[in-house]
Amino acid sequence: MKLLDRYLQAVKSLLPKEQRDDILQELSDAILSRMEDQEAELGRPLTEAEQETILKQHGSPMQVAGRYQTAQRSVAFGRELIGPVLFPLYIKILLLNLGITIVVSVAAAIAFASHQPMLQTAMAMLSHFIFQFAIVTGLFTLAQRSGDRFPWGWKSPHPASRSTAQEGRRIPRSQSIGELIVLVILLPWLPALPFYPRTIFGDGTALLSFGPGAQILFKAIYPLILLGVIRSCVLLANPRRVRFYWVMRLAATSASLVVLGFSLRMGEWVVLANPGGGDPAHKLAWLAEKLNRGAGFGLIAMLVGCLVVWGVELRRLVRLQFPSQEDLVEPLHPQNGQA
Amino acid sequence: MDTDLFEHLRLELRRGCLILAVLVQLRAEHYGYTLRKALADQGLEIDEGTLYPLLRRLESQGLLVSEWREENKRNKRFYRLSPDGGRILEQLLDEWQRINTSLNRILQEA
Repeated sequence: MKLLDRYLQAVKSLLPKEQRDDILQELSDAILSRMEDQEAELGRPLTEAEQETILKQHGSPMQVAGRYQTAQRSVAFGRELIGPVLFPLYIKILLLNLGITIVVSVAAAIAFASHQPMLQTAMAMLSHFIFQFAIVTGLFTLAQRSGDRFPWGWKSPHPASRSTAQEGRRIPRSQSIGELIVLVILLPWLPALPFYPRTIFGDGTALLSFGPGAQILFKAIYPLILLGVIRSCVLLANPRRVRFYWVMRLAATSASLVVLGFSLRMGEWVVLANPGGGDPAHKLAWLAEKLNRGAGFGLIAMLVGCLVVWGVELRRLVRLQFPSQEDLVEPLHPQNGQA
Repeated sequence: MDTDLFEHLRLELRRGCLILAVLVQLRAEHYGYTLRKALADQGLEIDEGTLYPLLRRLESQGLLVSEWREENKRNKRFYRLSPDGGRILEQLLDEWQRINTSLNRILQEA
């Protein structure tokens, strides 16, 4: 009953967490009862097409999961943009973004001993949040549309529906190729940036230059990209070296954290090209300070993001090493003779 | 357009009736599949996607009680009316009778 398993897996991922197992067991029993009735009428097992018909009559995973949402909340602007199934996750992501924005803003204000008035800091925070709200709402609206247009996308086994144990068996060659392409594009360009500041500063090259904080970033990028290229090449040759993949990723993220930390400590990412310059020097110093503040803000956000990624990768590596019971694939519906 | 409008209004009409039908049927114990079949046998078709969430909602409102039991080598969730559900059902049936009587009177006059 692979089709039923995939259907139930698709529904499971959309159900409220606290009732998930309960609902799934009831759902599985209902569908199996219906299939058994039909098999009894026909006097033979159902074909996959017949099973699919029953599942379609039951409703798409998103429709089914939506009916079990305890609070039928949604986002609508005229027509519904985000339905009750995606709404709880949408709210979680928005709150997470708001939390990160507040943490980063406060950290940046403390780090740079900001003399900005509180109102200005609050307005800057609000504008960041509005931007993130627009992006997150847009992405979730697209996800909802995609779910509505392709409600039966669950039929083909999706990589996300596999358990960690299954995922852990190999890294797809397509993923390694994709990563290699991106890294090969970045390899000649990023490390060359310090020698071609015009790519960043444009006509301002005569006035501004990269500071020590930026220099350390550029120095670290080259070995990190090389590490990524080596990793992708090894995995192209042998996609089963999954532990190697996660160890390398964790190593790269750890190195990134260290580099970001050093860069933030150094502080200056933009300096005046001509510090002793004439009349407009104080204006340029003001500009450099603004750019440094912006760069620092961005790097703190990267550091926070990097920390989250590091945590996720470490957890993935630990689960690979010590898979839990739920990581092992089991049929979601009870087999004959088993509860 | 007329078909869509009729369908919309038909669903509205069915919604309240279904709750009453489910509560009446659950004076006797059923699990989801047998309940659905029992209602269908009486001419009230209801799809599983509507029935199961409805049962959970009624249970969360205290009108039903349920328990998991093994039957035919599978775990099934059996529902029945709770004491509170029984009291509410009697009140709903009285209300239903009142509405039915009024509607009949209106139809006769029309």
